[in-house]
Amino acid sequence: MEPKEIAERIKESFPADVREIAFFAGQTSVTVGKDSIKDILRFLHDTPELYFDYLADLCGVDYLGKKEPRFEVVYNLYSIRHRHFIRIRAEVPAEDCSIESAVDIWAGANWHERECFDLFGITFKGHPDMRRILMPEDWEGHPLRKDYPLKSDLGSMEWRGYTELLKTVEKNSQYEVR
Amino acid sequence: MSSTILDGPAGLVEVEEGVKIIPGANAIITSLDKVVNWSRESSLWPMTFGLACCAIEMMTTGSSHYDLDRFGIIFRASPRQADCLIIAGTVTKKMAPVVRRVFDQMPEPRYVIAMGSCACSGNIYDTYSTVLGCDKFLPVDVYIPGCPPRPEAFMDGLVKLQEKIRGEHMKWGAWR
Amino acid sequence: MTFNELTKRIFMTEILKGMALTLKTMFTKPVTRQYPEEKREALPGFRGLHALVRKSDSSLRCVGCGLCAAICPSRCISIYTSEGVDHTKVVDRYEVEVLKCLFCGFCVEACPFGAVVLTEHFEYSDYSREALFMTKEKLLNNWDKFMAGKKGEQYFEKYWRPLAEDFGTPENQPVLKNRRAD
Repeated sequence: MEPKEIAERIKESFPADVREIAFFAGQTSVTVGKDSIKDILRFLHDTPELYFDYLADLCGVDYLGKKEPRFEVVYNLYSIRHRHFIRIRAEVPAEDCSIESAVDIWAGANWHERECFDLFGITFKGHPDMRRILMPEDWEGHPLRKDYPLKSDLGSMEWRGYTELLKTVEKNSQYEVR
Repeated sequence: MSSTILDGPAGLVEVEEGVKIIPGANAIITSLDKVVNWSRESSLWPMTFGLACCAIEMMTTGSSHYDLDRFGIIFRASPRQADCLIIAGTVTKKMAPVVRRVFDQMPEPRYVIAMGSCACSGNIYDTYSTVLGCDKFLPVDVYIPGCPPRPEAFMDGLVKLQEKIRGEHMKWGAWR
Repeated sequence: MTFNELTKRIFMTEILKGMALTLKTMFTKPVTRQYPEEKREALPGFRGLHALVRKSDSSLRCVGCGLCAAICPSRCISIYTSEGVDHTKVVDRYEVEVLKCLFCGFCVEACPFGAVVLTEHFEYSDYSREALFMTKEKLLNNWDKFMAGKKGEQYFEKYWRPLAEDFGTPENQPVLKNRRAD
């Protein structure tokens, strides 16, 4: 199926949720609200003509200052049987930073959603194991947000494990033999 | 030093102010130094700590084209049996306590080689999760620049470490 | 046991058949390069230690524009300039922190005067950070040591020709007046 047709199908079935359809560089993306995202994804997965059985990627975007709502969760879907792609972008506002999890539709979404939570702070309701995956477990803050400091020296926001390491090294340097 | 039977014509001799040695002891000490240093430099057993791309260059240097076994280097997986730690790759803040723990478990004499630009100074990765150089929490002996250093540059760094060991004095025994 | 099985066991025929390749390599010439004694020349264009170009009258080609420092991805180049006689720009300090460099070669490409090069020398590990902090004098020395003679002359012909004339700048611009390539 042509990507335009897929986008039209989605718009017919969920007219209230689709905010925008965009075409760029041969790729189609459909921006939807987050309320019935689970139904949209299930529709895309189950309908025989669409049959998106492969979740290629699930990632987050932070549009701080550039547009409202602040976050977006992007689902890149591919159908192995029909060989077509589509991109679904679900808007997530900063105040209610959560969205329903896609784990029961595609099991591979598990780690992608953990990464999205770890780096952006978007919680996924219904996820079996919502915890940090890349940063250490007791890290504070969500690094990929646009208001997070960029450079290595985090000052007072430094991870507790690293500051303790530096203190221990300081203390043990009296025993060094050089 | 209180006067003992060693004081006297055949006893302690004052070399510098406040330093007394047994005459002739130097000959024994320097030869012992040479033997001990030679044995240490010719059988340097590194602890493999390949963190990122420099690990590939370390592996290449260990393979047959640029053999490391002919330097006496056998890669040991356990820090308790290793004498030098080659940090090859970027050190992140999550990994830093682990590296330090491995270093603390190594018995003396132990040396640290920072291989590659990331281990020496963080390279371009000046981000929230990277430590800018492993010498922020480890005492480094040799820095090998390069991104990644060629196998020959890495071997040159090892040769420099061997030269450093060769120049050590009295690093054996309990009186250090 | 039959006679066949007995011969196989005594003469280890199956084991030898399987080990044929392994045993043959025992007698071939090893591919190891004996490093400190036997070194290989770096291939031309290899990006190694930095050097500042010396003109034929022994002065710096660098004017202190700072383009190399601006484009360096790891920000390892620092340039300090001041005003000299006749309102010319004088480069006081040109420092490269080699331990931070990733040897991309962007500085060589960005320089419009062809004043920085990456030599083919790569065996320079050392015991401390200070020894690997290259200042202007050390970099000029590197040029004399590693790029003297033909190597230096042919460097830009072969790899990059970022000299300002290639950008089609007009001939009478003051920035180029006294600094023609030599």
